[in-house]
Formats: sequence, C-alpha cells, structure tokens
Amino acid sequence: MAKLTTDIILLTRGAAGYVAALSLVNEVPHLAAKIRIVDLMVAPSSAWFNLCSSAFGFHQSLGVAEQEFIVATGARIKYGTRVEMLGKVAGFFSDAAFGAPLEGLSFFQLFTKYVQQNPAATLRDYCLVAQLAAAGKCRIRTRQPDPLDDLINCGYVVGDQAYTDFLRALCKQKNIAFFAVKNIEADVAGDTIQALTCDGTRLLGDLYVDCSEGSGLAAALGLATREIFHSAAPLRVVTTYDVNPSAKLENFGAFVGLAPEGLRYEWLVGSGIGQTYCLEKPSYGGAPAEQGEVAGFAALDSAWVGNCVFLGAASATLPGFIVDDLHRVRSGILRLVNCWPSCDNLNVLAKIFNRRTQEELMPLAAIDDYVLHCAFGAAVPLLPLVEHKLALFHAVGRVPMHEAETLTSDNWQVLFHAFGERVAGSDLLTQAMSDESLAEKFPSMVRFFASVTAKSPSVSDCYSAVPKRNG
Amino acid sequence: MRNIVIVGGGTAGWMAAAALSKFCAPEQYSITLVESEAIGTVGVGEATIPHLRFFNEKLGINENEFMRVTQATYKLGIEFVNWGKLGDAYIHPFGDFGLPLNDVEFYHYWLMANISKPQRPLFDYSLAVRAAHNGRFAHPRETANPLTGTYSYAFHIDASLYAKYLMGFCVERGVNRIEGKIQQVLRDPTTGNITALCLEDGSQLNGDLFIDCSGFRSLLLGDALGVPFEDWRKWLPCDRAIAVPTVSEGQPRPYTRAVAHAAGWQWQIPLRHRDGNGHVYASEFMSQEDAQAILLANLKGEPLAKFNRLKFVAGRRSQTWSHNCVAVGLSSGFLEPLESTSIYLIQLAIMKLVELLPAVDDYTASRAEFNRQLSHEYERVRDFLILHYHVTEREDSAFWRYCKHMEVPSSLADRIALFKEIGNLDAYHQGLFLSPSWVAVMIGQGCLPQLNNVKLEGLGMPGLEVAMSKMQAEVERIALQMPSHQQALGKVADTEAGDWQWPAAAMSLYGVFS
Ligand SMILES: Cc1cc2nc3c(=O)[nH]c(=O)nc-3n(C[C@H](O)[C@H](O)[C@H](O)COP(=O)(O)OP(=O)(O)OC[C@H]3O[C@@H](n4cnc5c(N)ncnc54)[C@H](O)[C@@H]3O)c2cc1C
Repeated sequence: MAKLTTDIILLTRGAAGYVAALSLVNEVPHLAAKIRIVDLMVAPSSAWFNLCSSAFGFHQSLGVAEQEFIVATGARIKYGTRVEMLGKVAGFFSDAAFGAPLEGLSFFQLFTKYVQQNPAATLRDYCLVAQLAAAGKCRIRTRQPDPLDDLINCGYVVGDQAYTDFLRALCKQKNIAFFAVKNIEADVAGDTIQALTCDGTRLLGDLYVDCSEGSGLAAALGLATREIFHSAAPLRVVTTYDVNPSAKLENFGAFVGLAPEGLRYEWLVGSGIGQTYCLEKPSYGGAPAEQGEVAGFAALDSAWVGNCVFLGAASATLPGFIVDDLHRVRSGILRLVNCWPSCDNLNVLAKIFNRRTQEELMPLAAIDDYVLHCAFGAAVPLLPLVEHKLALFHAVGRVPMHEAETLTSDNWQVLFHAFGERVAGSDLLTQAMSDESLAEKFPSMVRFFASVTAKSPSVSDCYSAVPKRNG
Repeated sequence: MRNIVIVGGGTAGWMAAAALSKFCAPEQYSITLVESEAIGTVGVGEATIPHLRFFNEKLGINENEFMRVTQATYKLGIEFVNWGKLGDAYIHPFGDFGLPLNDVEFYHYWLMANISKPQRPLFDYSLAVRAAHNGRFAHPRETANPLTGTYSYAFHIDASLYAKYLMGFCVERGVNRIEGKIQQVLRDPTTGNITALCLEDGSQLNGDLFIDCSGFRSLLLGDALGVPFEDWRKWLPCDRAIAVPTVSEGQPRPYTRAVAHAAGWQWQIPLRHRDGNGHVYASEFMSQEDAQAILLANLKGEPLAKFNRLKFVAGRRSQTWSHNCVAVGLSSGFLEPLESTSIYLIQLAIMKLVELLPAVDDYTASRAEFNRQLSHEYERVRDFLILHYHVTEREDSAFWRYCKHMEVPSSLADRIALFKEIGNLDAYHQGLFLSPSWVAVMIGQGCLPQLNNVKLEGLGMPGLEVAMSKMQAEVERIALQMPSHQQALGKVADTEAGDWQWPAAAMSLYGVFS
C-alpha cells in the first residue's frame, strides 16, 4: 500500500485554518499528528464572524454543546435575517425548519396551494425560530436532548478573536500543532510548492492547504481568478463596527435591507455592527461610500493545483449573505478527504475536487447575486442559474437543485419568499392534495409554534441563565 | 379545459395516462389516448427496478393485486455472468454490502482486508445477494438488526398485462381511448406548437399538450418537431435484439440473469407463467443468424412464440420536451435493458411532468428544468451501462476488445480512475445508481483498487477479520430464515388486496427518487 498519510501545512489568518484542521481530524483522527497550522493573524482581530447554521453540527461533532460554545465565545444566536425593501418589511430568511411535510409533499409545495385560499397566511407563522425572534424569545440548546431542538436551526454572530481562541484550545486538546508567524514566503517550482519559509524557518509539507485570504500563495503560484458575478459599477463595502444595534434588527440577529445608502446588511451582536454594500455610481440613487473598499467577488479557476489546495475565502470571495466562508472550509475538507492525494495520479483527484468545488460555489454565489440584484436591479444582473431557479419558482413554486449544492431547496424557497417573489400556481401533484387536510393541518401547525413560543424564555433571560465562563 | 393527448398505448402511454388521470382535476383537464392495434407495441420490457413500487404507491395501486395481474415474481438484483472475464459471475443487488464500520462504508474494509489476504467475495456480505442465491425472498424490514433493512426489491412483470391493467385504471378515471392510426401532425405556423393530429379515418384530434409515447417511431418529437437524436453507439454498440418467451423451467429465481456472449448478452427473466429471454447484440460484430443460434443454444425451456426481432440505436433525443410536446418512453431515447432502466425512465419523465406542469400555458421554465433533469438521468444511466462493457478483462472477441479499449465519456473515465486509484466513489445524490451499485459492478468485474481510503489507515484493525466473519454469518443466517421465493409468491396469490401492508417505497437503497 502506498503512503496515505501526508505532512499537511495549513495556512490561515484566524479561525479558518483551525476549522479546517478540526474538520480534517474529525474525518481522519490519525492525521492530527501530521498537521501544522501556520497562523498569520498576529494582531488581535476586531472582526466578527456571521456563522451559518451548519456551525452547530460542527460544534457538536467536536463534542461542544451550543450552550458551551456560547459560554466560551460570548456568541449570540442569529435566528435569521429580516428582509426589508426601502422601509417595507418583505420577509424573513432562515435555514430553520418551516412547517412539516405532508403525504410526501414538501411544506413549501403545500404552502403554495394553501396561500391561494388563505392569502393572509405568512410563511413566518410556520417557523418556530421566526416566532421566537418576533416575540423576543430564545432557546439555547444544552446537552440534554429536547425534541424541539430539531425545529431550531440557527446561526451565530461571534467575535473572530474569541472564536479563534476557542478553536485553538480545541486544536491544542487534539495535539494539533499551530504557531503564529508574521511573514511567509513560498518557494515555488512550476505548480508545486517546495517549501514555505515562515519568519525565517523553512517548513516542508506534502500538502499545503491555504484557508487564508491574501496569503500570497495563489499569486506565488500564478493562479488565475475569475469574476463570479458582475456589477455594472464597482460595489463598495463599508463596514462599521460598534454602531448601536438598529431597531430594525429586532431579535432576528441579522438584517438585510435596501436603504438609501445601499444594501444594508447588519448583524446583531452586543453593541451591534453593520455592513453596507453600495454601488460606486449613484445610479441607484443612494450616496456612494467613498471610503469603502471595492468588493471583488472572484474565484480561483482551480482550487487545487499541484500540491496546494485553497479552501473557503482563499478559493473564492463572496459577500456570504447566507453561507459563511467557514462553512465552505468544512465542505472543502470533506471533498478533500474523498479525493485524498494518496496516489501519484493527482490530476484525476484534483480534477474531481475542482469540479465539485465549482458545483458548490456557483449556487452559493447565486444567492449573493440574487440579494444584490434585488437591491441594485439591472446593475447586478442575475446569473443564469438564479434566473432558472427563479423562473421555475414563479411557474410552479419549485426550485431546481443541482448536484453538490450546499443549501437545500427549502432554503431557496425561504429566500425567494423573503424577497417577496410570488408563485403563479401549484403543480399537478400539489393541486391534487385535498383542501380539507390542508385546512386541518395548517392552522394546527401555527397553534403549535405559538404555544412553544409562549412557553420559551425571553432573550435576556435566556442569555443570563447561561452559566458564566470560569476564569 | 386543457386537452392532453397521449399518442401510443404501450407501457409508456398507459403509465402516463394513469398518472395524469390520477393527478389532473377532471374539471380542468381532459385526457385522450390514441393507439393503433395494427401497429402494436414493442412487446418487450419485463424487468424493473425498485422505483416502480413508488409509482404504484403514488397511484394507490395495491402491490399484491399488481403482482397477481402482471404474473409478477420478485427481483432482488441482476446476476451478471461472463462480464469481468469468462466464467465469472456476480449479482448486482438492490442493496448494500454489510454495514458501515466507524462511519466508513463496509466495502473499504473488505478492500483493505483483501489486499493483505484474499477474502471471501464481497457479495457474501450482501443480504439481497445471499437471499437471491438461496432462492429466497422476504420484504426488507426495519428491525433491531440493521441488516434486515439493507436491501430493496423490484419485480419481473408481463409488461403487456401491466399496460392492460393500467388501461382499466385509466378508463375508470375518464381517460378517453381512441383506436386509430395517426397520419399527420398539424402545427401552428407561428409558434411551431402541435395543434392537432389527423387520424386515418379522417378525424382530427385537437390538443393543448401532447405526450409522445409512440415508441421508436417518435412520431411527434422526432418526426414532426424534428428534435435531433444523439447517437451513443460508439459507447454502447449493441443495436439489435431477438426476444422469445419460453416455458418456465423449475422454480422462478428472484433475480434477472444477464449472460454475456461474444458480441452482446442474453437476458433470462422468470415470470410466473413463463420465462422471458432475449439476446441483445451488436450487428457490427455479429450476424443475425449467429445471434439467433446462440440464443437457441442457451434457451432453457421450450419457445412459446416466434422470435421477436428488434432494431434500435442507443441514444436519446437532445430534448425530451419541445414546444408543447413531451416524449415519454422509447420516443425520447433508448438505453439497452442491461440494468432494466427503461420503465424507470418512463416513470421518471411522468413524475417530473406531474411535478413541473404549470397551471398556465407558458412552459418555458418547466420545459428547461424537465430537459435538464432528463438529460442528466440519461447520462447517469449511460455511464453506468458503459461501465459493464468497459471494466473487463475480456479480449476474446472483436466486440470485447473494442469495448475494453474504447474511449469512454470523461464523466465515467474520472469516476473509474478515482475508484482505481484510491477506492473512492465520486458519490452523487441526484440520479440513478448510488455507491453500492457502482461498487458491485466495479468489484464484481475485477476492478480492485490498490490504494485505500485515508480514513482507514489509522484505524488499527485487530479483530477486523473476526468482525467480518461474524457479519457474514449473520447475513447468511437471515437469508436462510427467509421463506423460499415460491412461498413468498404463494402468499401474494393468497392474500386479498388490502389485507397486507408492504414496506413503504418512497426511499430506495438503489437510488433516490424525488
Ligand atoms: C429488447 C428490449 C428489451 C427491453 N427490456 C426491458 C426491461 O427489461 N425493462 C425495462 O424497463 N424496459 C425494457 N425495454 C424497454 C421497454 O420495452 C420500453 O421502454 C417500454 O415497452 C415502453 O415502450 P413504449 O410504450 O415507449 O413504446 P411501444 O411499446 O412501442 O408503444 C408505442 C405505441 O405507439 C403506438 N403508435 C405508434 N405509431 C402510431 C401511429 N402512427 N398511430 C397511432 N399509434 C401509434 C403503438 O400502437 C403503440 O401503442 C426493453 C426494450 C427492448 C427493445
């Protein structure tokens, strides 16, 4: 048998590399001793992570319950994103469960039919976390299993530094080596990295995994990038930390809205933070933000070249309205394990890995493209992939799914509903569903969610009940 | 009122009519089916895969009743004889091998153990295979022992009886059946849509939506709308078949047999009242006389009818839905019956139509999605069929030499390479044939990877051999506890419709159905 184990050097700037290492060791425990994390985050970071709900499963796989994660990092639960268009509430996006399927039909199919007869029905009434958020309630999951936990799916907002510290501690427990460096230089021959010189020390690896944006490795290898979606005028992003939490956020955790200055995307944390995207030219009507950075949404043509693999933000930059970069790091690790470079024929492995990476990326980019399109109209044209999804949604209330999509068709349904898209009519299968059973089941779902909400603690009670971290 | 006109009364036509009559509200849709007894149907197509159970379930058809009227037997998989090399045989089961250990699929452990010391066949760890070899059948069940739920099942049926049964189902639901031969197809000069069909007797049939189930003729999609055919013969060179039913010999086996010959292969399908047989071959490599002689020499029972000689071309129409016409069945394309996928593709097209047909007359979005999904499915099946011919040691005839050395689609080449190199499958979620099926054919035909899963390397496996032999003994024990296939069929015959609950079909281990 040839050599399967490989010396792996993980390059990062903060949390991503630790997420990669822990995910890898989850899949292949004996690799812990083979990993070295090189962390370029030297100064404490004041940034925030907007984690999507897959973080919960990740923490669980590390043996950490939600409550323990919150205690350790001071994270706040994000139940979803409230969507507003020029002051008017349009909807609510969350990847939590909505309603329940019936006789083999998804809840959203049934909803298209139900809403035709009950135009006042709103999707939010069928989602427990939306109800909790609207009522200022919250539920934090502990180690004690609760049947209602299945109905809760939430993201988090967490400080980059706190999260990195938390992940580092877990890496330490698992004997994964890491060290901080100020400077790295890559010794490259063709498409292969010969060595990395980190603050003067030469590191040799078999496999280099780059999880950090701007490590310079892609440039050293001369890799080409490509625009993921296009904006007629440059999009600028203005990030403001420590602003007062907007009233608009209510308790949802995040807010995306079209406001005069551009597309506001805000996440609620203790003191509140905000991020705004705006078009450089005032064609949209808002004030351009001169001090903002130009947001370039681009991906590497190949995320695996030679002996170097790029994951998460290192492989593509996206606004990440719904799915964060760390999620992409985790799914990238799963793909990598399935194509583990344990043979000489790396080309075939890299080819499959790269194809799958693209298959995952494009639908995620499509979400961001869609949100920006809703804000800026023709200036940010819809990708053909979104056009197709949207057209079918309008026609029959279904969303076509592609292989390797990370999100589910339910996620797309919620997103389209949140931005006020309407369905023309249901398909034959849904039409054949009896009106009586819908008339019976739908109100009972609403009653159930309302009664759980009524019994749940308020947000402030909930966090104050969380035991404080020792030391 | 929207008029749906179905052209053709073969398996495809009647399955389409049945599903549409079930799901279309009669006050909104009228459904008409035209067929011509003079032209007749293709008259073959007897082996199915587990998804058919899902179709029947959706229609509310009782499984025992269905089995009785179609003279059905159970099917646990397909035995492939002489494929990897002459003298080899393996069963591709409707199910998995063993149980995962440490969250890793069992076959990886088997490969690892087999590298250090040759093991008993992987197939001995499949409950469906062991039951099949022992001539036994029981329904899969969720029990405390997870092995009892590791397989699925399908049927061998008399498809003409199934079509007849569905005809009754449809007529009861108001489908209007017309006997007649279509002579001309009329189209709207501006939109290109089909507007009406002219029959031999001079009558004219108007419609809003046309379902082309006219068989290989592809009367509407191919002839009238001119949608081109993509020829896949360079990968699947078989283009002829000779079919003949014979008297059943002995007890029916709960599996199909596919025996490879010099330029093709022969099927043996056991029904209750007879056996179905046929020789599929490539005319470029074998004459009709030789093919017929090989078939005759290998028949077990007495022939019950004349030889049915069929010509076909592997491939598909570049679009399955064009304008206001949806093709279902042979009119949309054909892939040889090696893995019994044609009725599945019929069912898939029908269910996708039911899911996607919009309430308004603008079909643009639905059509694009329908075509995307159908071509995806066709390509998945195509690649899986090519695998059988390509992963072989056989070089004993020009046909096998060609298949072994031909260039295969890159989607398949990559998949084979990944498996050969590191024993992994580039698993997918959409489309037919999940990992166990790929594993069955790869390993069954002798493709044993040298390297293995990185996940296994650190898992010291003392006791692996003991665990494996325990698992194998358990598989054998459960298989031998099952009733014989004959007994299971006897129960079908004795049980009144509705008396008995069969396991839910929505989830198949064989592939995911929407
Ligand atoms: C050799 C072979 C073996 C097979 N084995 C299997 C198998 O084991 N499992 C499986 O799933 N599939 C199998 N198939 C495929 C299966 O037979 C077909 O998918 C199935 O029978 C459906 O056929 P159809 O209804 O599309 O066409 P047909 O059965 O050909 O029906 C066509 C219909 O259109 C009508 N028609 C045609 N022209 C006109 C006209 N001008 N006017 C009026 N009516 C017209 C005909 O009268 C007929 O009713 C096999 C196919 C072949 C060739």
